[in-house]
Amino acid sequence: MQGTRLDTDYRHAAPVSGSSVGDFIELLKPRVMSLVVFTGLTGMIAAPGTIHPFIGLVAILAIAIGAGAAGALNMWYDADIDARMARTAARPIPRGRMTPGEALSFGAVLSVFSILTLGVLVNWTAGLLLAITIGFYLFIYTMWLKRLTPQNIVIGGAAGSFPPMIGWAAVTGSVSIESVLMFLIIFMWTPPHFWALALYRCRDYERVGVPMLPVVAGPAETRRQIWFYSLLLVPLAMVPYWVGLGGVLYLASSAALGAIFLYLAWRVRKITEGREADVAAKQLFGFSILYLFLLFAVLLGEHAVARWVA
Amino acid sequence: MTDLNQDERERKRRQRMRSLAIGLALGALVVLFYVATIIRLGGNVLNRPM
Repeated sequence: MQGTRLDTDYRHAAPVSGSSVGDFIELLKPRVMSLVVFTGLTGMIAAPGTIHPFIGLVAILAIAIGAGAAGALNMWYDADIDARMARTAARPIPRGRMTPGEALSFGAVLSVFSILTLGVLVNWTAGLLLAITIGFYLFIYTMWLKRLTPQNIVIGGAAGSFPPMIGWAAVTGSVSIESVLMFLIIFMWTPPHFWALALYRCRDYERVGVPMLPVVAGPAETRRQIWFYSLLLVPLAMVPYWVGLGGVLYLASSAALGAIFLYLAWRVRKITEGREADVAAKQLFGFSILYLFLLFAVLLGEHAVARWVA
Repeated sequence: MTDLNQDERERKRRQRMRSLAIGLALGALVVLFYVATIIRLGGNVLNRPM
């Protein structure tokens, strides 16, 4: 089953009343988009130099639309497995509210427009990074790795790590150690975040043949890997202080939040049976979102205040 | 028959909304490019040989 597409009847389900504007918005994965906008904005505010507020707004808009377009293309390609997973079965294509062709053209048009807009109106370094992000998410993650290897989200996670780099590049026109560091933090955060979810959604992935780590290597190995990546993530998330990207408040927040993250990851590793094991995984998954949000919020706050005071 | 008419009306309503959304998006894009171009050109808009 691995590496192959599954046969379902969603392709024959013609929309009865046509797709609505809301369906197209849903295709953009607004929740993922909001995190992308937030980390992209942080990269932009943290970058040295200035950007005209309107051009900054254009950059954020283009990053958001580009990320949404990648989401739409992902829903187009993955509609067969989405239809068979509880978490994704209500999406517009599996529900027959939209044809796959509509989603494909919508995603493709928005991808091209967002890359061109960012390139022409902001700069081509940012435009190129956005193109890499969309291409990586669609071709490397969605089409290639997701159905092939349990390391899918480790490598595929790179796509979600680019936004702060794009924001940074929108201001500076370049890539630097600080923006690579923000990339690495999200990159290291993705495996424990997703595997915590996969631990309690294991059956869903198993049914559709997606080789997520708990399906292929088992929950015990997944718990070990979550712990391993958490041990890498927490000290890495403190490095911004040492390169001057984050201040003392960032260091203190990063240390405190990291301690909670490690505690929850340790619980996931130790509690392996029954409902409590699911609860521990859900707690880590929930906290991981808050963790990343707060890390970037503190970075954003520190730089915004510094700019305001200067 | 009534159901069919209702379906058709609903389909047309959604189509109208989609067309409206596309129109608004294209309009916003035009404004976006216009304003961004003026900002990027800055004072150079007026700085040209007569």
